[in-house]
Amino acid sequence: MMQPIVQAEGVRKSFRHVEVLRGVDFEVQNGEVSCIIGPSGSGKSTFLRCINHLERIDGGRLRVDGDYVGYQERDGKLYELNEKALASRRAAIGMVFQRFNLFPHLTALQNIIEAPVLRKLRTKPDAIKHALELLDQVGLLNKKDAYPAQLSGGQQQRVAIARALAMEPKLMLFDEPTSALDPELVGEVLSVMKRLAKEGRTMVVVTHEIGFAQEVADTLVLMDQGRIVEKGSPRELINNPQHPRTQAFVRSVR
Amino acid sequence: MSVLEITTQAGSRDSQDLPTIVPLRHWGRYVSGALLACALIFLGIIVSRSQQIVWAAIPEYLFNPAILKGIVVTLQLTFGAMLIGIALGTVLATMRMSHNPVFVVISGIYIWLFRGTPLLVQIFFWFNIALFIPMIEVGPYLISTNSLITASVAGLLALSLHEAANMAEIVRGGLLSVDSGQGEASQALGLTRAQAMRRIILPQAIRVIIPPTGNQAIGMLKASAMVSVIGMQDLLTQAQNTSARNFLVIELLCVAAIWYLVLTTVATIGQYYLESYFQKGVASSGAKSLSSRIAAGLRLPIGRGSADRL
Repeated sequence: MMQPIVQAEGVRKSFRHVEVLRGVDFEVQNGEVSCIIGPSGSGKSTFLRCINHLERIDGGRLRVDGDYVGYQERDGKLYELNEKALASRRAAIGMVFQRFNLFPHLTALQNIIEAPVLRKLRTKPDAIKHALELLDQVGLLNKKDAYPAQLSGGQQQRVAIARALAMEPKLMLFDEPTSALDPELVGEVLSVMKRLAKEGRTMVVVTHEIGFAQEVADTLVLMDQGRIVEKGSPRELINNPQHPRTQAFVRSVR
Repeated sequence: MSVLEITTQAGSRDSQDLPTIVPLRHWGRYVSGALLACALIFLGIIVSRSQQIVWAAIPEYLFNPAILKGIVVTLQLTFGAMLIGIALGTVLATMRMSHNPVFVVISGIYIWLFRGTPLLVQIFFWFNIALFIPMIEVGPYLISTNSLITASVAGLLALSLHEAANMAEIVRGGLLSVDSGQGEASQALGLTRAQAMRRIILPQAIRVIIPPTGNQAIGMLKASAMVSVIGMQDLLTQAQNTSARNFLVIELLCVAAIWYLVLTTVATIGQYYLESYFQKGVASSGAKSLSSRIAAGLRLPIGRGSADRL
């Protein structure tokens, strides 16, 4: 069996005295789409942010593609990575945020080429060519020169997805990508994500969109109070939930 | 045809049947405005009829070589102090926001000290520094402080170090105004902190930093007059020197005031253009460039690209 892309064992995280993650065990295989659902405050976004070390974990083990997130193992000890090493690890993990976080002073095209050029992944002309392809894929080629403020929420989020893809990540993290959108704009973002899933991208998606999870996810995970309560195929989990928390949650979002 | 008839009918009915709207007249405003205008005219007459003031001296001294030399010194002082102030202020702001507690405390004390004491006190302090540091040792050389800290150096030092404290707070405010999501997105894309700062955070913070910095520069133009207390040959000092010889005190103060107004006006216009340049991507529908707005008004094809985008 191949080594999983994301491998979490007993991950713990506290903010001051509040324990947000209380021992999360989680795995994602290469090419798999894993959706994390659960009530707000269950720690699902925090866990996602731990995967690319936007949050530092307080306990347990968290590895992406075999490497410890934010650390390097030497002589049985975990040494915290310096900034440069951390940045290159992060470059391999794409992230899409709830509030898009596009760079408002740059056009859609400039948003996409910024990181590949700065990280010397591509030359500028090459990056522009790639960015135009990505914009075409998310259906926004005609908006390449628009600033984020001139785009709708759905368009901004699609540019944000293209921006993350420009780094050619081996893993994509989505943090409630449709939660900040008007209802009529959710569909355009989800359809882009569905295409990515079909192309075989490895994705971890924190979402409230049960319908999307049911259609796209290979595994569905329910988090509650900092723990993974239940995991399984979307069909099992939604149609035949075992845990009382899952039963209650599935009933509430139906 | 029938449509036309209906509209004309409707139009005539409007004017016949519907009451005329009469806005409230604010009589008090007319009266108070007229009174104030009269008072100002009266004051103007008194001033202009004054036998004590030689009005002709004002245009005569406006382009006096000594005055022009003073303007050069004032401009040099302003530019120099603002440049050093902005550079040092940016350093202080980044120190204040760093994770190094020693940096945080030191820049905090600096800002507290230099913002908390009057500029005039600081000018005198630097001018008299030789009183407690008489000699400075640079390697094998021993230099007397008085030969190093001349009036010009003392004035420039005092203005820049004071300005740095103010600029530090302005820069820090600008950096804090950028949404934390911007830094996170940069990190997630694999940018280092320095790259994120240079390419993502600072360009956005600049927008917030520019307007108060412009105000500081205008303030600095005026504050530089304070160095006249240590005899630097700035605009005000030159005006005073001249009036000490010819006793045209008010006239030369007017000359200085006119020049200060010209300088601050030019600075204000410069600030406007600087601000609109840095408005990229923000309120983009409203902040079109002047040239594209004129082009749109004249229906010229220039700058159409930007209009099409909207």
